[in-house]
Amino acid sequence: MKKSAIKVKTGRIYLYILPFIIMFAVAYIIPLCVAIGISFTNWRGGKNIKFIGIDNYMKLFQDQGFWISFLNNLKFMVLMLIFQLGFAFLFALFVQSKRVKLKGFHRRAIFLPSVLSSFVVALIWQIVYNKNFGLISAVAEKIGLEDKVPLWLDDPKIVINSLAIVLIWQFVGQYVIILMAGLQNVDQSLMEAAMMDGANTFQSTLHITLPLMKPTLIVCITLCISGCMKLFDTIYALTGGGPGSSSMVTAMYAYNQAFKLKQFGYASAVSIGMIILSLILVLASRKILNRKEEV
Amino acid sequence: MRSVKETVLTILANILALLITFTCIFPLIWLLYNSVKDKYQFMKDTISLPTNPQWGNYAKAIKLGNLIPATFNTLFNVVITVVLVSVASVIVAYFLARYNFKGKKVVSAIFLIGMLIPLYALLVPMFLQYKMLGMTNTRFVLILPYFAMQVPLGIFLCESFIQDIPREIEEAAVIDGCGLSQIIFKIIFPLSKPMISTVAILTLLASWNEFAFATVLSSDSKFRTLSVAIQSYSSGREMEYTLFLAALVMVSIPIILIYFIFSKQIINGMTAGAVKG
Repeated sequence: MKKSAIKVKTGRIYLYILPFIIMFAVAYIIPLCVAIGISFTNWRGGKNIKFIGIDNYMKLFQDQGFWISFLNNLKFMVLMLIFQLGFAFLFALFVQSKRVKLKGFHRRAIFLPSVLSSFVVALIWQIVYNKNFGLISAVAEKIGLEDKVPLWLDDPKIVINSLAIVLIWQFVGQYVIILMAGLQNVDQSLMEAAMMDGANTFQSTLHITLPLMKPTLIVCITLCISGCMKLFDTIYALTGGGPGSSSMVTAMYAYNQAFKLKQFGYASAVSIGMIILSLILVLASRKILNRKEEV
Repeated sequence: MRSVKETVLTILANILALLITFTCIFPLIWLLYNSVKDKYQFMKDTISLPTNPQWGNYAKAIKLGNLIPATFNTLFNVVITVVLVSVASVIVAYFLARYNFKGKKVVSAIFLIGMLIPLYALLVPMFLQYKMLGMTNTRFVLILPYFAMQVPLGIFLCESFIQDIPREIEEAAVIDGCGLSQIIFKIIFPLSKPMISTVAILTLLASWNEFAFATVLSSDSKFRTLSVAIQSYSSGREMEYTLFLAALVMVSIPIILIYFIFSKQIINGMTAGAVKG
């Protein structure tokens, strides 16, 4: 780093930044420490609070409910990686091609749902999915398929898919814009040269565009993975984790332990477990993906 | 002949693209025109356009959901958070970008934590902390969480922006007799304006939209925000769907307007943030 314009004493620097560090710590770091502390107790919100060692963590380890929730996070992750990224990639390729006009319009329109509140979006979809007067039922009725409409949010077998559709609809635009930005950097003359040599569009996409897009795709994959650990609003608004625990995710599980069952000690342990699992997942995926890139 | 084929292909491709995009945003259009239907038409046929627009749905929805105090509470949180995050981001980013000081690594590590931890893992811990302090359901309870949620991204965006500001400007200012605070407030702030606007808009969107922390920390009807007010809608008595739709439209319209005005900043900021996060 080059030298700064003026010499400033360390103390003076902290005079400026310490207030913000304290604010951040009070909101973020201290609750984390408090939660770690409480996770070793049996606190249920009242006056009784007893230190119980690592009992909560032993329980967490064997708690099927927690692991089912985590597995659901992973299920969402797989669905999102395949369908959200897949659609985003195809759409970005398509819109970025020479033939399609109004690129800016498409980009803006498809990104629009991403800026809306995911809670509000979930409520919109609650009505879209409604059996009696929802948008999908109404369309199905018009084309005579009303018997084929599934119970989107009440069938444990498909509820995760139904929720994934909502999430894909809302956030696909984020991936489209990232991928479109990446595609702009791919040298078009390489594609043209390959076409001259007799490659078709599919071949040149597979052998030229895809390898060149690798860094951008890695960004999208890590974003998608960390996004799936953050799932809460959509689930809370649409199913609350049900029916049964078929769409339960870890954040929702921690919420239920705390606010439905008042097991604050255990809920803290669940939160800490969730942080650890998500850090492992995010860091591991970064490591694996970045190593592949070097090869 | 070839050019005819090309033209046809181009037209087809564009029709397809428009069709896809239209399908993607149709639920929003559908929401919009259903919000002014009377309830009988809505129950009978949700696809057709409203025959007898009920603009009164909006006034009823505002009254029923108590949306005016909720709007005030939301704006209160949004404005304070936006100001705090913008100021903090520039100041912290400036020192991280320009100076080597003791503990600098710790400082950036602290803020990096904010980008790595899944936000909702903090829902229970934050609730417990504020409950112990007796601060849930107070006017200011959401400010700190919202600040902490957005400031890491703000710092990151500003840090790379400030790094690109030429040092010569500051050096010239020092020669002219500027002190540290003048450099920050009279030089760095004005020069960082484009990035500050991006950070401010992203913060505005996030704090306007936020739901989970609002419902956990401040569900009291006196301090509740718009998202929480919307939630109590669906749990209230016999719900009138058209009014509910009108309420959803009203909560989203300001965000959509801001999006169309500032889409460049929003898209740039979100992309850069995603690349980092």
